[in-house]
Amino acid sequence: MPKYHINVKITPSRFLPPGKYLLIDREEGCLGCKYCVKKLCPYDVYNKRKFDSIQLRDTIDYYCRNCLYCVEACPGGTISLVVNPAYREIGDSYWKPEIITKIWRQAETGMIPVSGAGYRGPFVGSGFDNMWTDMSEIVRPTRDGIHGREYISTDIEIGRKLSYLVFDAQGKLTSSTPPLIEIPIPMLFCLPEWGNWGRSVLFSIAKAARTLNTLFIIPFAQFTKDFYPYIDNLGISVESLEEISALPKDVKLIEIPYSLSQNLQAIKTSYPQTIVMIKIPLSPEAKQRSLTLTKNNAEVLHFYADDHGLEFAEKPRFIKDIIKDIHLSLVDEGIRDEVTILASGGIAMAEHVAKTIICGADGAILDQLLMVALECRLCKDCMQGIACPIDIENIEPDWGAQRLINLMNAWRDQLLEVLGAMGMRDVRRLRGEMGRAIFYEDVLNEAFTSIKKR
Amino acid sequence: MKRVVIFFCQNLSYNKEEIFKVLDFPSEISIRLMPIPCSAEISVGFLLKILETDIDAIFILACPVTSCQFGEGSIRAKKKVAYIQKILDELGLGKDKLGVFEVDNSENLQQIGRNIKKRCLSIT
Repeated sequence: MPKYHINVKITPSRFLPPGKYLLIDREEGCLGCKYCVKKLCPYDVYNKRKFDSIQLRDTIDYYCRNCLYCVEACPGGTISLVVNPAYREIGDSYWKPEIITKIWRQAETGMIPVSGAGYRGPFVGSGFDNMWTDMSEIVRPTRDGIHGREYISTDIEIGRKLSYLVFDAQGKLTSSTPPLIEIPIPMLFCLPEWGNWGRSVLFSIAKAARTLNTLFIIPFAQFTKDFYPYIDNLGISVESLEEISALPKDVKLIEIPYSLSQNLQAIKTSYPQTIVMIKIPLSPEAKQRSLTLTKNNAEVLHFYADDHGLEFAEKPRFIKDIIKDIHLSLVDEGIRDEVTILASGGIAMAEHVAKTIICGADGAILDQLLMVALECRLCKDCMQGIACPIDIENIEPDWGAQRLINLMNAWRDQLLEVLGAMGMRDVRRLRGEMGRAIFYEDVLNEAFTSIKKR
Repeated sequence: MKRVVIFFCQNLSYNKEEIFKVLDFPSEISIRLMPIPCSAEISVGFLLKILETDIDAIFILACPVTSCQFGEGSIRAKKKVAYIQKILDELGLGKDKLGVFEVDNSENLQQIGRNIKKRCLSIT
């Protein structure tokens, strides 16, 4: 098999992203020195600054590297540096500005973001931050990077797998093999639950899905004839039985809501070569539903949480904990290998994909992340009918597709790093490898149960 | 449609949504609320550059002079605005295109909202 390779091309953002710090130049109190510190800026920021007439801002915050030279050296003390309020405004409590700017950088360059100054943050947090992956196989710095070693496969298969094959007396295969789709990265695309996305956004995602050879799950309402060239890389999400009858025959994957799951057999008889994926909200009932559906020949289960990775319940648990729960219950029943589990919601960083897979999913479905890669600020102004500040409806599909391809390359590289560091050669081996990860709750229990007992 | 930009100091006791709600603009005025670290951060050149675009008016919501976190931010902002208003008058554009307001409490903010609306609608 030829090596899978993603072609990266630098794709600059259309709007300069806000920088973390902003230089305040008070102007008053200038001593009129002959050699102004602004002329001596090592990054030439004061010459590069421009007025952005669309965003109505000075671009100095983007170019400034926060070296504090001008702040320290100005004899009049007229310059100061503060945190940019526009930077703090992007995103929300989960999709933090740091995460969003990292996604933008990856979508622009296609490379792993390296901060270089060490990690000064806390060792544990909530959500995905309370588990650590095993990196025990790192024994020395690699001579030629992750791509120079033996090939690490990131392929996953989507579909139902038989636990055993049946042959007749002549040695002929009698069991019928269900359809399978093999995709080279464990990441699929879909649209977030909110937002009015224009056609060019959909085309960007479809194009990226075709180039990467993965799947884009498009809602039936948005699927038109223009998308036929991409049909091999599309899954169609339907809401009702009428919509299913109107689907093209050669569609690869159909996504149905949980409410239609009792019609699974009927859908399979009319579309025998199409994989049917059932979309289930993550809730306390999700575990029981996954067991019943798997016993009833379900092929693919798509569990979705909200944008912050939380389950739909009064006391929500985090996506990784529920996926772990579902995976382990299927393992206990001995049916885990028959079904494919995909998870979506709250996946914002490359490590989240690896961590979701460790907790038992086969792959991840990316939603809001794609919009962030296309420069969405997550302001959700579009929901209130206010015009999009970055005019996302009118992006160039080729530009958008390349941004997504770059991001996926950066994420795949990070996945390869994790796999390499764990000494694995296949992402399918990573699924459910909970013994190779450390969970904060387990560590706490181990350390403190003896004290509790007393 | 009138296009208005309102810069507000991030040290005000109101956030973006609250200001948007209290100002309560009619649909014929499209506004853009932008946070700034201090009302004095806005430079003269920057304000003039904005007035070069298709923006009709700019208003700055500053903290009261007595409670500015940087001590003299609001005073500086007022001085800058007065300077630009002089330039605008000389150019014959009218000084109503620009204004700075001190925000004390929500009644005061409502008053400012009415004032801004009146000024926006009077701009030709």
